[in-house]
Amino acid sequence: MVLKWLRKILLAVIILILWFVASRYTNPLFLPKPEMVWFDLVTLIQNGMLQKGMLASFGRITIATLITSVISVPLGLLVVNHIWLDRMLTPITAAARYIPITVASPLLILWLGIDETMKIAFLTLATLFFFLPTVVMTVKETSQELLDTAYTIGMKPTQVMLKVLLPNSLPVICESFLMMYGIGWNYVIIVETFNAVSGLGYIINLGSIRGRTDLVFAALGVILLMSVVFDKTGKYLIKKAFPWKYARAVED
Amino acid sequence: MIEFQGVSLNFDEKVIFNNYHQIFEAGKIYCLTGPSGCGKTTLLRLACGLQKADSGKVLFQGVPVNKNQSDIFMMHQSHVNFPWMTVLDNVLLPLKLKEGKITPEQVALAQEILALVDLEGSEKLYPHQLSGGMNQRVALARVLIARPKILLMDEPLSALDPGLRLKMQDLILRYHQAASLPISLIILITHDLSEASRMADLQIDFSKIPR
Repeated sequence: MVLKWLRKILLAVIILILWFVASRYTNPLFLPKPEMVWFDLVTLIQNGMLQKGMLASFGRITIATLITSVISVPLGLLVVNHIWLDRMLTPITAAARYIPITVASPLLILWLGIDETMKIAFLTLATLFFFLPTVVMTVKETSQELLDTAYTIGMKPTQVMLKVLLPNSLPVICESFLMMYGIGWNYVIIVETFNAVSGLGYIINLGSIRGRTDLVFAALGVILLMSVVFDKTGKYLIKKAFPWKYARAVED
Repeated sequence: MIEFQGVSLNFDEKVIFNNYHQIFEAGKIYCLTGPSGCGKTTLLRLACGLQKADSGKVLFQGVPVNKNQSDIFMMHQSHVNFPWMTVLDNVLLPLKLKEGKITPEQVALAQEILALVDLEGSEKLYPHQLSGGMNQRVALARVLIARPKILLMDEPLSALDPGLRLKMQDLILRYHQAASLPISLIILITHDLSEASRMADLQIDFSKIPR
């Protein structure tokens, strides 16, 4: 365990040294010096822009992912008992995953304007077509034996959905929920280029327009840190919440 | 009584049943033997309405079976318990579904039955904390507390050691033979011929069924 952490720290130190050395011989427009990025971070924290940006981006991703979950989880559960719904949804979700979601942004601007509603709608679309098929697949993977047992002890289809399919699929659904944040961080940068006044994407966009690569690096570093912390914390909580799924089974 | 009337069923190109007729009479234990893939589990799934026949009828007391009737229980070889529930909750589930809530007397009865299957003290454990054999016994305890009229068992004791297997066979026979208990018809799949001859009133070799 200690060795694992030492390896990670060593890797980070090597990257920092390489960055430090390379930045001495490179135009700061392409590769800013680490101390410049650090200075930017301190300034962004002191003037409150970073905290405001983190909150805004995280809030947008959270709202969009929650909307995606509210749509996907019930639909995913219904699909198992309604073949017609499965046949209707599968081709739509399969095709939608291949459509570059960025092409939806002009349409969403046209329909919803350039304020928050459009940003949330864009992030919802970006996560929905990944989350829905994952939920459907997870629910379908419930063992047939377990379903047979549930039906023969007298459960009705709705009870099977709520008392078997949902609890059995919930750990993987929660894991996928975490993954949607990864997708959300990818797209929040794009969506925050449209009329945003806050957000980490806004800071990146600002840095890019003004040729301040150090600001771009600072915001990217924060996104990386937030993603890792969120992912690790989420996975830890999921393992604690569903010990039956992650504990090693007893061997005969 | 369960009656198969001219049941036919194909999976893709493979004929599983072709105009199959069979009456499984109340009060008896039937053992189905035969190689894997010959349709034994499918017969059990047809018998409790989990699988629909392409043609023909499966009747329970003269009425077509449906998958939600709690008089017919099916017990599988694996994935037999709900992993997010404790052993006690798994055992009490049929009663909870039937009556909505659990009384202290029912909890005491569940504990008594768990003791019968040698699982005394395991009430608060979860299925992943049990071995395969212990999980099979939890499923058996659930069957014994629910007392269905018909019990369909798909290699239910396969994970048990020989001594415990004999003990569980005796327990099933005792529940089947006791006049006050309603488990009247048992259809059991087994690969163990000694188990088949010990428990069965009638053995059906599935490899010899005409298709």
